[in-house]
Amino acid sequence: MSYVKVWADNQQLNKNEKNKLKKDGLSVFDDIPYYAKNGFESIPKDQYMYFKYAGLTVQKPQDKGLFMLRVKVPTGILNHKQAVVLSEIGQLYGRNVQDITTRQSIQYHWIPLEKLPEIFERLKKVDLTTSEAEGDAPRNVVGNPLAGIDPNELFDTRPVVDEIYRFFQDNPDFSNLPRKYKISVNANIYNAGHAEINDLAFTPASKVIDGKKVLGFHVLVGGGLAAKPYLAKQLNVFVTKNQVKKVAAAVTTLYRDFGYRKSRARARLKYLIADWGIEKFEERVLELTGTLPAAGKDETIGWNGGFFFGVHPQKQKGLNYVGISVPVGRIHSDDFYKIAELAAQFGSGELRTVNSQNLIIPNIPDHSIDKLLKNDIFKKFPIHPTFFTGYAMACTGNEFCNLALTNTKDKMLELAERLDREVQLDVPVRIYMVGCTNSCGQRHIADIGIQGLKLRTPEGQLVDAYELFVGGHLNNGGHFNERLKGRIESSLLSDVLKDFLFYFKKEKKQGETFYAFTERKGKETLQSLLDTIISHYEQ
Amino acid sequence: MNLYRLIITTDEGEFFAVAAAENEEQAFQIADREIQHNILTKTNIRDITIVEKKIVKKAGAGYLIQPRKAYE
Repeated sequence: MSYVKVWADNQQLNKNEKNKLKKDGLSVFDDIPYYAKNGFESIPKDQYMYFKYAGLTVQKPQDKGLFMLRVKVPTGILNHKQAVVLSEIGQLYGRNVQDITTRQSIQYHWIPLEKLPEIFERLKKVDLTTSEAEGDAPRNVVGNPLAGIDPNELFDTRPVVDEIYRFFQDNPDFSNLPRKYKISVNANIYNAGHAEINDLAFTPASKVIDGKKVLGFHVLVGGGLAAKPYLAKQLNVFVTKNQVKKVAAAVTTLYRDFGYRKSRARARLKYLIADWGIEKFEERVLELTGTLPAAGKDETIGWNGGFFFGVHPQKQKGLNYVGISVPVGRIHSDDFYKIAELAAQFGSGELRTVNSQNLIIPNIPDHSIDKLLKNDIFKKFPIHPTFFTGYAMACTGNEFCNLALTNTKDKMLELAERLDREVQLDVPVRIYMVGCTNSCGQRHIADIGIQGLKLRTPEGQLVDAYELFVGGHLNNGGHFNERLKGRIESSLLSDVLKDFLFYFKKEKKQGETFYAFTERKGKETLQSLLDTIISHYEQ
Repeated sequence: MNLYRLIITTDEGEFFAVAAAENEEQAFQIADREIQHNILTKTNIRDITIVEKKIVKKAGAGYLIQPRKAYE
């Protein structure tokens, strides 16, 4: 450690902070072999928090010795060996199931404690890690899943992501942050990195310097969803590719040293920036980095929601990428393996994970496309998915999460499948479902967000129910969707949404997106519509 | 023990309740009790929902009760 913990003498540190001063989170890797050998009962409860730093959460019920395990995949790029190892881990230790997360990571459930050392060993051999996939540390660096092959990227961000990832990964100077810390590095001009919902985001930009157009980044800070969502704000700086590490280190140092450690509820970077104001934060960044040029031209021209379905030409002539739908991000490890093998047989072996919980096979030559697509796996994971199932996302839900009030993944799939059968549209509608207020399924930026709650019916029954939120997006700085009044019982959800979307179909202009429709019609009209639909079903 | 945040929707608008309970059923019973105790004139309750759950650890748990914003 080469820094002074300036907060160490603060009398008002929360319990986690006091623990972290005594023992760094990364030290959990020294303890895990002992626990794995001696069983779950050998873990003192006060040590549970440290497992997060190894990308592990004790899975409910909490006495069974099973874990959720998350593996980082920086900017979503996996080579063939890595993809194979990830499928083997699911097959051997995770009941043949793995999830693609909204931060491009891979997540498993039911991982037995005693298997952790051998899982870590398998991952290490292929340069993958679970370290800091959770915990108060820099999480997986998200970005453009098409980095290096993207006709719509300003430049290839792979070297920048690699530099940032390796700089922060297991770096003791940054392993004790006040809370989780999310970085995005993206040069896709359709905001593939979801910049506005990250603590620190580098977005595509250009600037004329000394008469020459230079490509680089703008910098956004302080974004995040959770129960108090906040859209990141832009610093007035232009950053070249070789300055990214310096700027990232400066922002993270400020967060480490001045971020709030009294209450964990107020520990994310957004709270510090809200208090300081963006101007003061920028001044402090510049004190650490030295002078940087003022912001140049923002090169972002829209938002693609993180969807890349279908076959598309890469910037390398004769090569293509194939975007595959993985409904709500859940896939059997056997199927993940099959897709990895197809990637090796027809492409370069690479696979890419997307923040919309989907997959991409890159580097398929023109002449191999037809042969690749003849494989039966694409019946299960289509490249042209239906407009609801293909664009649905869901958090983990109460199946595994201790905070969720309702099921999400199964419910979302069931709902989307019915809508696909009964509502034919000319545009996709992004429906994201979450089981609590924390928005792990990014409900706030959905066309239609669905949030779970528990309702007691007039007959006294306890049932799952949901609230709807409409009109979220990350265009032009972003907008969080807005709640419509009315709770919908689980049994009525698909009926209500079907009618709601029939109205959209009937009233929309050709090609009009749900977001544009919401803007045109206004929230009051949609509220009135929902009131009518709910009262019809409640009669 | 969990700490539940509930919303009670009435003809006059919505208000909030907080219940420390072992499970959801108990949380609703606690909310019922508090409604009966605190509301003098009987009001028409349209529905009661649990919108949030926190696990009560040694350091406790709590909610700030305030009107919901449009995105909440």
